[in-house]
Amino acid sequence: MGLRALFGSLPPRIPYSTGNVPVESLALPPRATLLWGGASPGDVGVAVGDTVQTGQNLAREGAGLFMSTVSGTVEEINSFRGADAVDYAVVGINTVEVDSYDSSIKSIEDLDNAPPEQLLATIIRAGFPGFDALVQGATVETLIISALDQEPLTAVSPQVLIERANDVSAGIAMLRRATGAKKVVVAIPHNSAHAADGISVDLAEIVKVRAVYPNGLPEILAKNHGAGQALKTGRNGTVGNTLVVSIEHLVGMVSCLREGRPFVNKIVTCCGKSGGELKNILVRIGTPVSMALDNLDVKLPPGGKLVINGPMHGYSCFSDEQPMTATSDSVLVQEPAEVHRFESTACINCGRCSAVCPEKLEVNLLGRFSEYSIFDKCAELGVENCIECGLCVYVCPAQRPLLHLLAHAKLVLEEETVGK
Amino acid sequence: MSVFKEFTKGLWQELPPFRLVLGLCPVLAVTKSATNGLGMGLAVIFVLTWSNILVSALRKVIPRKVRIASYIVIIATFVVIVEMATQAFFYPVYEALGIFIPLIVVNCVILGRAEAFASKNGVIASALDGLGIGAGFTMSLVVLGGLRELIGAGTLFDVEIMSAAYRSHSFSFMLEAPGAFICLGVLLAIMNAVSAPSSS
Amino acid sequence: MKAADLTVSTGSHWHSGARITDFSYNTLLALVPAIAMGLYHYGISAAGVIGTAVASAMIAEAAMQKLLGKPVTIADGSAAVSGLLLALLLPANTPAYMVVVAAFIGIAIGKQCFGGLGANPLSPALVGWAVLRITKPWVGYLDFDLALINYDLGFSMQYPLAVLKASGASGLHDFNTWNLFLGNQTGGIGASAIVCVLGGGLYMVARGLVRWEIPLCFLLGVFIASSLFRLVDSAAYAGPLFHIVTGNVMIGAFFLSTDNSSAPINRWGMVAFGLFCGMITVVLRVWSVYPDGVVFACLLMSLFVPLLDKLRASPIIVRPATIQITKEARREGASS
Repeated sequence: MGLRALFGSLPPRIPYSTGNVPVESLALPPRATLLWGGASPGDVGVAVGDTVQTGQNLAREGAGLFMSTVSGTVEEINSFRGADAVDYAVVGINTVEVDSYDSSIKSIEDLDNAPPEQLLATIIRAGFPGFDALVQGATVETLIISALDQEPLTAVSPQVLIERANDVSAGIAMLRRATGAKKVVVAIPHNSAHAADGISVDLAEIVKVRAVYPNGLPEILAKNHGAGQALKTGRNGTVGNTLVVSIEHLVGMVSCLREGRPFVNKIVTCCGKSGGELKNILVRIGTPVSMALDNLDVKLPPGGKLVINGPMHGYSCFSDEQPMTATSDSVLVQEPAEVHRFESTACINCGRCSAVCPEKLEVNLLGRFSEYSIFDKCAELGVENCIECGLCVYVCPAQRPLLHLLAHAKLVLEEETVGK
Repeated sequence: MSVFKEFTKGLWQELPPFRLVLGLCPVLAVTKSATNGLGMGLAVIFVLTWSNILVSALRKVIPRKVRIASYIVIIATFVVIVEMATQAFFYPVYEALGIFIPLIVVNCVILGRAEAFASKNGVIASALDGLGIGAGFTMSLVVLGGLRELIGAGTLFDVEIMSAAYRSHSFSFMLEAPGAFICLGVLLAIMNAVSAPSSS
Repeated sequence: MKAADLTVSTGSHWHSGARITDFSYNTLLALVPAIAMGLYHYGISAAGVIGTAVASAMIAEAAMQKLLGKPVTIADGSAAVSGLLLALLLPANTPAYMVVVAAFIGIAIGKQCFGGLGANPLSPALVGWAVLRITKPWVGYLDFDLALINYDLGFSMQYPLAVLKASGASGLHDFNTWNLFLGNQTGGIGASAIVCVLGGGLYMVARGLVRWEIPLCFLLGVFIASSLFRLVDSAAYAGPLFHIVTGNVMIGAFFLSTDNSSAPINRWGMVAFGLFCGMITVVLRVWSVYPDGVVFACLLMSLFVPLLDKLRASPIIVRPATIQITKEARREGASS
């Protein structure tokens, strides 16, 4: 406590998991639920009763890409508004045990000489997330391969680094060619025992990053080791020049290009309770959380919290039917006693939020302005730079829901700009 | 509309320092005692009433572009009369009020009434308006001055109200400038609380 | 989707466990040694002043919150801290009515009128003290030489800063800096217990409840300004160490100037705040009619806090969107 508290502007120490959590495969769910963010049921190109293949594009002609990760029969088409204020199109599919693969995703024979456009198109078609900005035509200046998890209580990246280190070099070479990045940086946790084995230095610059939250967040990686800003596609267009790809997606891309298989299986770290033992499972994208919990033998306590993607900036779910997506890294169950209660106390101006903010925002003022709907002041103070890491909430002695207030201000300002 | 209303509105609805929040400089500066407040208030009543009458009578004659200058000349005339009269007949009050008697010329209340009321209304209405606003101003000054004098010095109109023990250790903070601000602020708050529409 | 009985909120889903009461309760704890030394020196009358101040501050807070229709929050301890700090600045035999008036005005006008904890631009304890200081008939009770005339504690019972004011640095040969540092001096009940206040302050800094920048720069400011005066005329002006170990400097540096809502929160703002507080303190000690200037320096600098808070690294402002995208393209991009 001592030194850290003395220099109060240092962020609190929230270390990442160091890994070595073996991955266990989970059975295919009888019913998978696929989420398509920012779309409505009208954009879905299949009807209830249709048979779909793994890797098939479920979007209607011209509406983009919405890849099925299972084979089976469409049972339900619906819509859903998430806690992140995004509208989702929902497709429920009754799965069949044996996958039949869509023929539009093909393996590439000569990986070294294939044109970059073909590589990129195949990667995007195979369902890897995070390439939205490239679809819009943005260019990548720096490519960051992150071997850090975004959150504590997650052990995905260290595990991939342990198990699939051989594929990393090949993946970097492919992705570099596909994206045309000028510079490649591999971010490795400082305490990783498997650092950089087999990654040749001429391919990429290897940086050791302190394995402490929020250093693994893409925005922080891009700021500290990239060309400034992570590529981001919002409702107002595309910003940034640094593409951050997790190491799990990278090795997935290698398999995809070699074998012509879509990205359908995701490693998820499950934690029955805060501070409890971690467990890595390999699930089919679309599997409901309840299946993962059954596998862990965890009962959801009434009044408790089900958090996906980590305790700091993850989101809490309305129900255990929430499906896993291509970016779900972890599942955490909190007992009612562990659930942090927000208070409607006034800000006491201690300045801790401002001191820990990685984006150096004046969170104390932003919280107050947002609370009283003075959003133009929020814009002046740069609220759109908030990366929603949740550190301000973590340290706030008044228990204020600062992240909620800032995210609200961001959303209102974003909607205003879109409306113009 | 009753002409009498022009008089009564100044006593509560448009009470100058509290409702219009005008003329605060003399309000804060001269209210060290109720006597000073009363003297200042009477001076303001005189100037305000007569300037209102004259401005109202001349409202068709004064060209619009030079009206403020003309009002100042009219007001200054009456202020000089007041200054000379107090100097001649109420010398202690003149001493106590000092620079604030000449400064009545630029008192926002007087210029404000000339511009907002007298230049648009008849002579009788303007006279009653001046009397009413002046009376309200005087009332406020006496209340504020009385309160500050009572707490700060233990007297009221120089009559010893509190015991000798209190007077020798009075809370003279109220006679200082911060005391004036705090006293005015508290009275404003009480007034707003009393007349707030939703106070139930 | 099936509704389950779950709690849903935004992040973070963890919390460090910090509470508002951390600040006030730890301040009370940190001031215990200073209180103990005050009681040891001045006895039961010091206890009376402290008790009166704390009680009336808490009553004032509760009364104002009732009056304004807010929830009563005296349990958070902030009013008790304000009352205690006020008491520690006063001489041991301050009449009770003065303490009550100061605590009431400090809390009611200085804090609750501005919106309560976190919204007060000035520290309530300092407001209360300043009210007493400018009330002329009461000033005699705040003059330590007059007020503590009946005490004999075995060391020089002259208020060091009054001696400095009256006869310059050459009159200070009675005082030994080390003795002054140990608290063997006349002064406020707790403010004169320099070593105890320093210990408590270091505890607060170590717990991260007081940011180190303000106390350090406060003392540095006092040091710089008094060294400059000393360079000009070493016979008239006292040295930096004397200034640091006398009067309210120590309690000012660690407890008075660091009140959360009346101090800046950014590093360079705090540095400037502390330096200016310290330097203004010395300037007031040298040139004003008051023997000590800590409280007025802190009050003055507190008014500059909104300005000092602008001294900060500005966030990166997001560059405007370079590519305007259509609704269709957006959907395509958002697919996953």
